[in-house]
Amino acid sequence: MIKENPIDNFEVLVEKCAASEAGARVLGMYDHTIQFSLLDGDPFFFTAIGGKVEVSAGEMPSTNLDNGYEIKGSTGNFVEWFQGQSRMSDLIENGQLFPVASHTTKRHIDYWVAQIVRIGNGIKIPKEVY
Amino acid sequence: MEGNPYRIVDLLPAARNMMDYCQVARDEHVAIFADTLIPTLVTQAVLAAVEERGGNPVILISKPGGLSWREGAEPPQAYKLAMYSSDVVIQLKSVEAQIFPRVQETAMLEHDVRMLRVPLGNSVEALTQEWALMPFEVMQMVTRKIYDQWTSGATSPGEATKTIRVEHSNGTELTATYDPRYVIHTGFLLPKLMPGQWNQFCGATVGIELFKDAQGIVVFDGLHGEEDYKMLPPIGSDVVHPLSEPVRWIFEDRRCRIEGGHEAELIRRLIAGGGEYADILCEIALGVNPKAPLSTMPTRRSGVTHYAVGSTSGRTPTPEEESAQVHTHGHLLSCNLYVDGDPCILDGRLVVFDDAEVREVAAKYGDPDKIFEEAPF
Repeated sequence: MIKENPIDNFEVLVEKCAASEAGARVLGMYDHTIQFSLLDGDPFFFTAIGGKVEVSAGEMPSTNLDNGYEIKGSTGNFVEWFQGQSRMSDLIENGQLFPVASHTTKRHIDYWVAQIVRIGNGIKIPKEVY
Repeated sequence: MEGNPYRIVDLLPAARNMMDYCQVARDEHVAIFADTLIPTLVTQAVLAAVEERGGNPVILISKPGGLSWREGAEPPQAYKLAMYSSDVVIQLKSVEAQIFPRVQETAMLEHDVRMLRVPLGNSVEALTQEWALMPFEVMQMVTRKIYDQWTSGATSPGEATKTIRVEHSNGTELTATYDPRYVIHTGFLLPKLMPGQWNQFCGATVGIELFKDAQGIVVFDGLHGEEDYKMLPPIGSDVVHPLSEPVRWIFEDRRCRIEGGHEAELIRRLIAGGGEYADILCEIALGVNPKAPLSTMPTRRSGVTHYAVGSTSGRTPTPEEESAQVHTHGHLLSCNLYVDGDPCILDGRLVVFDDAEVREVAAKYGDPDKIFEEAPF
């Protein structure tokens, strides 16, 4: 997957994730909308409702805090993450990716989107290997 | 027995309660992380409780967390792999500090881990006390109700702000404006702990970690959470109480001026090493457990509010906002606290303890009056 546009990258990841049983299960974990706000580009957002997912250009409709979320970052950092070159947790810790929430509020959603990216990229974790 | 009168059976009720907080299920892999100051009787009790639930436990013992988590510190490889390979991590902590935060973040976000943090001090007795028996369901509902009050009307995306006001007859009078998206709940948002989340055994905090403005004064009863505080009375504890004289944080435009005796001087030294934004208000929070002991866990005690300047360790809040290398605390034992004018604490008591729904849930576990009766400081 060599695309330099984060929205294209993310669309491919969601498609690949949905293609596996484990990935489809992860996609169905939450009903949520996430806006990816590019500090140097146009925003896009991802919506999951009842396991049905959609990636759209533009800004998400403003929604109750329980169902909506925003992550800010540069185009380069989103591309790096979506292409599997960096982990979400490292980008957050390095101050390169900015979840617009307290360090506790959206942790389960951070996990969720990190798993979509990981599974979409075919990256295994130790507990899947051993 | 390590010179104490307790047996594993005395600690089992609390250890079993830990299983409720992280919902250990059959065949799950559970890593119990302890440090050399945690009595082995405690780790044995937790191990037994995991096995009762049908989990597969392993215990890892490292040096005390407060000495090892500093910037850039990396744990041994075995420590990392055990954490990454687990379904549940139970962290028994002798000090209230984050331990290897980057590894913890990676474990939770990337490796499908949920985590329970158990601040114990170094005493076996801690696990025999009432605070350790507070039911998860009650603490979760109390926390969620306060979180809902503090975030009411918040949207994402959204630029709405809310106002928190704290007052006390000791001279405290603080008003701060905050972004409700940055309200903390320490893992009690949902009735079930989900992968990626952590919670704090028997005592969440609800708080705020990003402010638009802060004006006024907080007059502290005590300080907590710094290695450097262990040199202040009572020696060896990171909770400093009582203070030799009042410590006052005076806020203008979020920035803090610190007044008081030698304790204030120590805080000024900590902040001096924290960079340009180390004196900015970065936390107002409260505890929800009416039985939490002040001596070891002031931040968990219901009605006790705590405050920090600097920023939250490990996460730079936003690209527009400032970050600092410190996050240093003080606490106030009693106050009135209002969010957009609605009371949250009155005379040191959480208003939510009198909420009908909360009391109905508490009644499943005993007399709500007894459950919400605050232990003396």
